[in-house]
Amino acid sequence: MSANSGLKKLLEKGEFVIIAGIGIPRGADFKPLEERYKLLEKKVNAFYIPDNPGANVYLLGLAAAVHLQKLGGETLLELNCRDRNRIAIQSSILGTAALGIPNLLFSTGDHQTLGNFRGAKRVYDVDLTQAIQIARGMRDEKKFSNGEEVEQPPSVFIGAEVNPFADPLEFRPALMAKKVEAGADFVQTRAVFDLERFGKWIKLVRQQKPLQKIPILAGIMPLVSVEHAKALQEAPGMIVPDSLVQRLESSSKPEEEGIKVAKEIINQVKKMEGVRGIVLHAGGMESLIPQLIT
Amino acid sequence: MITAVRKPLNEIIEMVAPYEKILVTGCGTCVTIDYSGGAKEAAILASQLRIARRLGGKKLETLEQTVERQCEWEFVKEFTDHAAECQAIISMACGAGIQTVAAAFPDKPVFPGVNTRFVGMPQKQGVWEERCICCGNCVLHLTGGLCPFARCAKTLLNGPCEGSQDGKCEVNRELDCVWQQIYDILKEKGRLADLQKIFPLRDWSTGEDGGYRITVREDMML
Repeated sequence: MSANSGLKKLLEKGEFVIIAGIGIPRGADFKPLEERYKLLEKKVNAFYIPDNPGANVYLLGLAAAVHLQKLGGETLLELNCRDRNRIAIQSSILGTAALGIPNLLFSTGDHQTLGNFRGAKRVYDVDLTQAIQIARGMRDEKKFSNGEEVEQPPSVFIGAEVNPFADPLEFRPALMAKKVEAGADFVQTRAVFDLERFGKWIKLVRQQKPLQKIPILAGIMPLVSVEHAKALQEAPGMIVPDSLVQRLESSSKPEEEGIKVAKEIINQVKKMEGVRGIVLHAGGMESLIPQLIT
Repeated sequence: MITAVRKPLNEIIEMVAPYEKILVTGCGTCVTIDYSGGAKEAAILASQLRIARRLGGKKLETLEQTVERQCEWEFVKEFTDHAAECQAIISMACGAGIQTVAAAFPDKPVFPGVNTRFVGMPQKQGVWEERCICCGNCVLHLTGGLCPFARCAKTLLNGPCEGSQDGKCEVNRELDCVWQQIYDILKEKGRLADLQKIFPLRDWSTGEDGGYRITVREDMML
């Protein structure tokens, strides 16, 4: 079975896509996932399924993706390099395509010591750029990474994680260029809070011709409390300006203010060149998403 | 050098609890240089164990001996006489030394006195840093003399991950991001173009992933 990406079609048509990150249950039950899905059904173009984010255990992303697709939602499934070597990555690419999962987002993966299973052994056999190269090779050249032939090549729309808020900033576009050269069809960013920094990154990216045609999906995360904002300030790879924390602090309804901030950010990133959609990182906060996109 | 740290005393006390006479062995090379398992540390451990035993109302006799390198048969043979007198041996060498002693004296229980940590160097007095994971396929000429396998928590070869900020690693803000350092060095040398090309998949089988490694040099064999 080959998977057809609705996401790819929408981007090709030039539509601004809206993807909702969905909270994955931490139990052997799809019910919470179904409830979250119902809140967003037909309101977004696809569902982003994170891959054991924060190096914590959640229900298998592939299982969640298959279930959501059965319910009628298109999915964008993350595959990190932390938990699987080249054998597992290639087997996952075949399996996801055969199950009809059309879009994959490749990521490095939060380091295992950042989660609640600090003693876990690392994998990182393949890095993000190499994982993309493998996926492209399987799809376009019908070859596994060792040169062996793939019987039925997988149809996959390949995404790459990028982070405009990681350093060194001036090197980030070159890193994105490597991911694109490897085969990324689109990129997805970490949550945008610092618009100035994001703008600088966009400008640097736009200076590289091969990157101009690559759709950028900007991460958006609603801040729900002052504590939430402060915790994100400490999280690796994030930049949450103090001014935003202060806005929430001085508001009598921080959650409403957080929504307002997120909407402002959405409106700003929409105007930026190359930004072709958003990914709402609001796992567990799905009820807030409809307010963000209306 | 191979670096190590002394095991916690209580752990060692528990390991040697059944024995009344033990040989505490130091190693004169790496673990002497890093103050974890040389002659001095062997003497300190032996006296700590005797004191602990006496406090418990029991007797412990210790012998101490340090050789040049515990990772070579020729040197560990020097323990033969003392080992014969003792019921058990504590080796304060790295893992290679401990195993050499254990193999050389198969009839004696051999206990590790240190936890071997890494191949590294003293960055400054009292601070040792990891530098090499013994991957068997060195790339230091490509990465400005900094090892992305030993010093990147994700062993990445195509640049920093998405968690590198302010020159620090996402794992621990005390750790430098080696990819920031590699970038800085190659930028200074005008070699940033080297980082633009995609490094292909690594063959990790030259390292620990290929099973334990044996180097055979026929030209050196007798």
